[in-house]
Amino acid sequence: MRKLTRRRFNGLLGVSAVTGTLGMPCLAWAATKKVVVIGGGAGGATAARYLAKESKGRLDVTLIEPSKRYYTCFFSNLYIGGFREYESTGHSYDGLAANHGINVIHDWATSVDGARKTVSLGSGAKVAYDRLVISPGIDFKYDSVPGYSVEAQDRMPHAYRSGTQAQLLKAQVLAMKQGGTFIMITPPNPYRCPPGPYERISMIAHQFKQHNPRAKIIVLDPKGKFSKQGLFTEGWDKHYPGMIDWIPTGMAGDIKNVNPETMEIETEDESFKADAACVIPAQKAGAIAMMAGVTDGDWAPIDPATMRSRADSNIFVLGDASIASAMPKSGFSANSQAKVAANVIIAELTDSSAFPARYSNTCWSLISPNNSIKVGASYKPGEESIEAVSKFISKTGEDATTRKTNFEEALGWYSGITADMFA
Amino acid sequence: MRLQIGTWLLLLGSPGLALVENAATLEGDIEYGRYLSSECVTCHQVSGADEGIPSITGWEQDTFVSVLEAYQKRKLPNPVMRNIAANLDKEQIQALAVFFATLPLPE
Repeated sequence: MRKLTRRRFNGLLGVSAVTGTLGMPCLAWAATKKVVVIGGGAGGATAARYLAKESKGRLDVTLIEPSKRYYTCFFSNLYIGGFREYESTGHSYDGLAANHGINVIHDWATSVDGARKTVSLGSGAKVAYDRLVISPGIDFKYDSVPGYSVEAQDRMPHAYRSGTQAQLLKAQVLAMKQGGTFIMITPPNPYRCPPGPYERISMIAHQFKQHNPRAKIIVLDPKGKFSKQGLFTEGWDKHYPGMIDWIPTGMAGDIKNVNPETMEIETEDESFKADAACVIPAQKAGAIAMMAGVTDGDWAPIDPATMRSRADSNIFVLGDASIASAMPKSGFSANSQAKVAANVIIAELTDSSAFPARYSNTCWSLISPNNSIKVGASYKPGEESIEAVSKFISKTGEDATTRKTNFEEALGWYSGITADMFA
Repeated sequence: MRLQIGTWLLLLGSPGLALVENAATLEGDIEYGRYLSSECVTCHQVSGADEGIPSITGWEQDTFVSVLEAYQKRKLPNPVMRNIAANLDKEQIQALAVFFATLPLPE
């Protein structure tokens, strides 16, 4: 038998939780406070879950997420590399609904009215909130790569939000002609998952090593350096010698055009013909953040002690979409930030304690079988921004046992974080 | 690397890792421990499952404290845990120890 939660109890009484619907103040019913979460990824799913479970049922929590099954972007590279089955990266929302009483709505949030405190959905319905959490991930600035568009993404996948695009990219990698050239265009800073494109290159190289040993990989990078570069370079030289050519645009010039029909990629200095390609454009906060009015330029500024939007005190922004300063845009960071925000929101809406914010992140990257590197830090809120307190990073020349332990740790983390998000 | 509780105790028996004395039950704020644990449970699952990352549920509180102090003193190697332990004070470690002791040992 289901637990009779307060929300369900109010429902039985026929009390609408929507402010003003009864045409009289709802104060007499002491209506349960409502928190709406937009986005069911590492930030949003974690936020919804912690809001529901840590408030011990005292909050009415709604999660708005268009996908019925969430395929994690983190570990999508391991799927591309052949180290994970696709379905093992997929997770359902039924636990959040059944175990935590969260109202999971599979729809798009199309606008936010900050004054009325309502979210409008693609279906036309509206949801009211006392507090709103926006955790929409990223959207792409397609025209940051001339010639690229959403229409080009099937010929040159970005595969940078997992799901179908990751499956497509893997299929194209495996189908590439023998001895062909794979070209990756990586994004400029800031972007989601700093080591992500380079782990992807490692995974594609691993596939080529097995199935297409004469294949070449060219990386066109608008950045002059990248996350864990020394470690990746050491690994590439050792495990994929001669296969990977990393070209910063300082050497080849900026991208002038990509042509998804002909697969030609032109820089200022050179022309390339790709047999398969991955183009990861520059990024910005997910569109609903823009529409909610919480962004300043491409991303959403937040108060570092709470993750509260600087634009609207009833709205919190988590994960990739936020300007979390020293914290990288990662699933781990979003999950960490979600717990801080949940703690603050619960304290504000019920009579419980808010504890000082603590944040952390660890990113693991797989270079070759049983050879994983990691980087991470602990963070705290500074006056103006989130600051790193202490950091660690793998070292070049480490022994195989350390690197294998890292990989096993990453697997353990994945089980842990997905349970933390969805269980 | 699966480290059972027995292995931890063996490590703690090594020279330089002293168990906290007279600390069968520590003073610790369980609500604070519950909040702090949110940082741990992304990796150390509340279910007690231990794939690749050791289980820390149901530990004796003094063992818990000693292990975190060992990371603070850099007597145990894992860099993630050294980093985390370096940012926990005595009160926080005790709160965590009290909280994690309430969770069931893995099957």
